[in-house]
Amino acid sequence: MALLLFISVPSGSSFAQEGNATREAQVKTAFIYNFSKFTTWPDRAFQTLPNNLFPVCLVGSDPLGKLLGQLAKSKTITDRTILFQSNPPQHELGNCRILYISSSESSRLDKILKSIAGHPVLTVGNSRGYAKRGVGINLFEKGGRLRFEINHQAILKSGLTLSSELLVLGVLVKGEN
Amino acid sequence: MIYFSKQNIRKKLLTIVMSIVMVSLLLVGGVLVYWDINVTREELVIEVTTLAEVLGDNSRAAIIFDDKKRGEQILLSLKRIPQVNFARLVDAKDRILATYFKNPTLSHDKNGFIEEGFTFEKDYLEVRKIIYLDEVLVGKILILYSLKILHEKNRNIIFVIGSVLLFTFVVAYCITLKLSKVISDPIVALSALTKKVSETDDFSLRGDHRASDEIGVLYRAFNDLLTQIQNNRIELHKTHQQLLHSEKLSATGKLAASLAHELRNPICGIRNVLEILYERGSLSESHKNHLLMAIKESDRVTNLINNLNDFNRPSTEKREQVDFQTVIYEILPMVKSRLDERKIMLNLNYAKNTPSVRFVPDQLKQVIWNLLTNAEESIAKNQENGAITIITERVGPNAVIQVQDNGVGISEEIINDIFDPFITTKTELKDLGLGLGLSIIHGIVESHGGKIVVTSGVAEGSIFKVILPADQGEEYEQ
Repeated sequence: MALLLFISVPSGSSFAQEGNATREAQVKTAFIYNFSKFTTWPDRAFQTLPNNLFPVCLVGSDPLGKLLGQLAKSKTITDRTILFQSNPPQHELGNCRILYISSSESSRLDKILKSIAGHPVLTVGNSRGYAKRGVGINLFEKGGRLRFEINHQAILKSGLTLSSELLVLGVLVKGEN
Repeated sequence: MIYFSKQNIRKKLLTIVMSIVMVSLLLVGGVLVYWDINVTREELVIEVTTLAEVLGDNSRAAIIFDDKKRGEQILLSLKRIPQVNFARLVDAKDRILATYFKNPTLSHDKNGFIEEGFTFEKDYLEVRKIIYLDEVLVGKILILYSLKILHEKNRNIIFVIGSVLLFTFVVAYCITLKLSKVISDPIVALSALTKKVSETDDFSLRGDHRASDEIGVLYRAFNDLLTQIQNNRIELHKTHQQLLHSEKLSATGKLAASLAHELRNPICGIRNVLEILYERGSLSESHKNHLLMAIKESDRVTNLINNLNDFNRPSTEKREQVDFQTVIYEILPMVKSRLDERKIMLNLNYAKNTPSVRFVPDQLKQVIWNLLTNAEESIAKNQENGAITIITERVGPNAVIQVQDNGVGISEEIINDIFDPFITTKTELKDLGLGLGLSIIHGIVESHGGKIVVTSGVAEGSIFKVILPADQGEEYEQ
């Protein structure tokens, strides 16, 4: 099953009928990749990193991991080669530029968020309430379609900017604090 | 073309001008309409394409994230543009994201397309745009824009321009109708005049046209031509008359000559008889004197006849040494009687040193005869003291003979032309000569290297002077 290209989301992005997990993961991967198209990282985000690398990290266990790994081989983000890291050490999380936090890490979420506070990281989650707790974009399913919440505050706090085109698509959520 | 060339000038002018006007108007009108419609179309394409681009740009995220609701929301803004009948957003795989129908019953249902661009259909404009994100194709947008209003606008343009053209055409026609007359009327008039002159043979007609253009030139030239012809005809008539008269004179001259010739013998006979009677007859003294007179008279007649013969004999053309006196002596008998009859005095004044001249004798006779005749004729019938004076003399290297009369004289107007042929002052037909006399003797004198000069004035008499180079022989002594 070939990884669908970044833009072409499986028809209707509706996978409710099939319940196919791979399919779901594919769509999510596509979404994550596409988020990057509508996100602007500050210049300083790349100054400390090795040249031309774009770290995409995943914490927890999630079938997405495999797909993200594959994505890294074929795509670039901001013209930089994707460097995929699965479960890097916590103190290095600040070097990620996109960090996917799986639902398995719900208990650790605050710690994770704290460790990356102030770093230009786009956090993407997939659990209920993640956005409220401070994750930038949180995916959820509604009416058979994949949708997302956006905690704009959190994003801005990270020093990132989201395009209004994206903002208008997501459900804006206010953080807890 | 043949039909055209048969029309009159006015119609021709009208046709030419109106054809040009019509062609020009059609060209201008056509270009205007075409240009306007095209510009309008171009502007429309730009407008709708821009609309598609703007909507497309705004739809990128919706397409990428497959947000149908958002897609439809975006397309719904097209409601504000009543001419948009239909619009559709599709993703990169031509799967429909959202559709907008202005009127759900409309039959359009277009899906994907390959090439972006625009197409003018009969009733609508179709604009297709590809949506890119970072140079990658993310989706496509298609908009159908109704052309009803555009068509109406175009119809209006055509109507307005058409009306203006028609109006202009009518105005041009009226103006041409009036103005072409300026050209055609004088030409038509001239043509009618020509026809009339030719038909009625009346060369006193003239055309009237005062403009200074080429037609005016034509008119003036035509009038001049008519005048010339008229004059020529008069001249011709005169010449014809004079020719007739000259023939008559010539015939008369011949008649006179042959008559004279015929008379010669009888006269000779008469003279002989008279002589015999005088010598042999036994007559009284007074009867003998009568006979003598008769003999003298018949001698005179013979002389006259001889002189007349001489005069009519064609000239021998050989120049000889002659002198004025001899010639005058020979001529005198012929004129004397007439002069006596009219009581005109004749004075002869020969200078002793008058040289002789080299002349054809007959021609010199003709010259002096002519001058004498003219002098006699210029003295009016009722003039009582008529006198003719002949003077001969030497002036420098020339022999001069001068014939002077105290007759009516020659007016200033004619005097310059007096030696031209066909000039005559005689008014009565019975006196009408050829008017050739002076011109002939003028030619004769000139051909002998001399010249004739005349001095005259009205009621002052005339002096004709003939100046000839003296013959290189001796002087004549009387």
